[in-house]
Amino acid sequence: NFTCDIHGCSQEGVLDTAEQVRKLNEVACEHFLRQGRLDVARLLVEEGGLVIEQSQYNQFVQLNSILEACRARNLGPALKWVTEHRRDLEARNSQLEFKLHRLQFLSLLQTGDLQAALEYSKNLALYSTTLKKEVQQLMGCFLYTSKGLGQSPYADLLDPVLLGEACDEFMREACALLGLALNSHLAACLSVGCQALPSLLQIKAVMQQRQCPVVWSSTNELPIEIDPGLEYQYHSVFACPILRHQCTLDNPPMRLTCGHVISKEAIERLVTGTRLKCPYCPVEMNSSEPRQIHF
Amino acid sequence: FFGIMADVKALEHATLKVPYELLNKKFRSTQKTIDRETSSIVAVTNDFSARISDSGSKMTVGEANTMLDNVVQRLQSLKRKADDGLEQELQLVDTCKSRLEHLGDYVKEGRLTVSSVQSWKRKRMDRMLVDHCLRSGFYDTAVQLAKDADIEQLVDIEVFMVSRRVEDSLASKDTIPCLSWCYENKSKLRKLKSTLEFNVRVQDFIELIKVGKRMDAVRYARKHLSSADSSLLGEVQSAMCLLAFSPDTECPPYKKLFDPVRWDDLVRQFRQDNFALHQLNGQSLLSVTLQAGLSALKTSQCYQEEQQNIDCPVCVKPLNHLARPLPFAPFTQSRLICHASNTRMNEHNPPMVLPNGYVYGRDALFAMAASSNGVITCPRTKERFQRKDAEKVYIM
Repeated sequence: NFTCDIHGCSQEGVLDTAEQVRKLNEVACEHFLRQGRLDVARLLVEEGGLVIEQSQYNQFVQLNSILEACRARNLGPALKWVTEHRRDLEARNSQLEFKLHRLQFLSLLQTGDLQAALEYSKNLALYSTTLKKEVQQLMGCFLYTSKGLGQSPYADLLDPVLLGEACDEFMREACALLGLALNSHLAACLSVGCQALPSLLQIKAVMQQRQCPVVWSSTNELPIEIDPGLEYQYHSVFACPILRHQCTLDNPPMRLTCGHVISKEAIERLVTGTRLKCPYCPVEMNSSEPRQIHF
Repeated sequence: FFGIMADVKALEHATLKVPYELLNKKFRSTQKTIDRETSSIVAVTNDFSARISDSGSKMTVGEANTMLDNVVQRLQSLKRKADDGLEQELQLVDTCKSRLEHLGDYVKEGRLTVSSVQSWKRKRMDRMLVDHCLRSGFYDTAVQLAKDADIEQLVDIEVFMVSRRVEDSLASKDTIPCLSWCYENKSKLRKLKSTLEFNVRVQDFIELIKVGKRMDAVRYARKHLSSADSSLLGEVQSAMCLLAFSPDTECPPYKKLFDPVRWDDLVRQFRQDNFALHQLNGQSLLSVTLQAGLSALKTSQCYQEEQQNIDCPVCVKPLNHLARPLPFAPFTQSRLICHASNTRMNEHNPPMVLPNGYVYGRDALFAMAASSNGVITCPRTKERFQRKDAEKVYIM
């Protein structure tokens, strides 16, 4: 009962030419760079005959090394990067620099070296107006150094989750500033594909049984709906509730005066003369009143 | 649970089948070896006991010794080969077992944490990448990746390494490794009705003619091509005709036979047969899954410049280019995302429209208004509005 029939779900002409295969390998190479697997990426470039931009390569290498250092509780490289990009980060309303300083300060305190901690706290002076409460809390930590911060009201500042959060935020901000996507595209596609494939195969088996044509191409749609979850949703999709079609640039969503939204095509079909009645409520309006909206 | 089983059933066929086939093959070959050795031992011992009970001729001590030594040697050889075979079979059984365990990890009911599921999925992705690299001929990359990702037992590197050796040799016009591979897998290839061995022999024949050794070619043909299947007779005849032509002939059907591109065809045919032998698919799992994923993520907005989202895989080259011929995923329910906060808009975060026609979630709009004195700035057009200007939008 354990047969292999994934063949049917693949398309001709998608990954056949050398050029197409090369693009796939480029995506795979970027995936490896993101994961920090530099030697694998290099081998792939050699064996696949790929050409990748040196600048992109360097960016990934730098980001990976900073991230690794952070995870090992060495915040130096991250702080350096953050100071270099201070202005950009401020424009994005990011508190990353403060968070990193806070983590560094707390780790100094925990080593018991009060003098060093005091020296370091001068870095926090920058935030004394904008983040007054947080700075006050940190200064208050000095009171508890003998008993240990774990026993103090500030114990939750030591939560290891904060380091992970700071790392994540660093990646988010860095990617946004460098114009890179946050996650590997290959990983996202494969993840969604793994979710979708079993259902596609089942449907294909059923279609074959009933002898329906089984080829789907770009003029068609896939035969089943797939909901990959919020994590993999990058665009809003609006389906007109009347005609059950996707709205596109040619057939955009329109908001009626009562607030209900239907597609332009649906409106054209509902218009009688110059008046239009909303299909969901008693409100009537002129046919020129509905406005196009953008999600 | 059933969702997960469907997952495994759909995607993991090759993972289990390949070591199983290898084990099968090994078992059969070990059995044959043992049979061979045992029969030779039986023959020798029979000889010996026949000599002893033959009262006609006396045996010297020396002769007896030699014969006994012979028997002992054969016995030792049997033991050695049996041990070897057993060891290799055990290795393969281990491989099967570790793969089953790995799959079992995923399917464990209700005892999985989110992070362990995630790390299993990451491993699956790595496995798919290794498989893809091996199929494309990127052997060094695959080996390095398998080592880094610690999945060496879970991928079929050995199978592809053997394949690489044969392919390389065929590319350099050496047919010996290929022929020995054909011999090893004779029965399976016969079941598949493979014409690989025949084609390789024909190629050898052609090469002999190319260097002018026509008599050798005829001898070769007598030895190897005369036993070919009757359905291939036509091809044998065309090949034999080559004897009448010179290698740089312009006559079309025979020019084709002399063409060195036939070696590439042989490499391709070998690859196909190798895959079929191990019950591997023609296309890699990666490419099929990728296509399914691209389709599922593809929207018409991915091909409209202003709407492209850098996080969306389909919006960014090169996947954008690859996904063009693929179908869209349909949907009958709207799914809306607030552009400002990247969160879903639904009954908990209802969508609201600003006077410029752009829609955002209520939470994002009110948060914006709260932090800047009731003023809302549209993130996309930078126009400013008052909080009261935002109107509700009803999505059915």
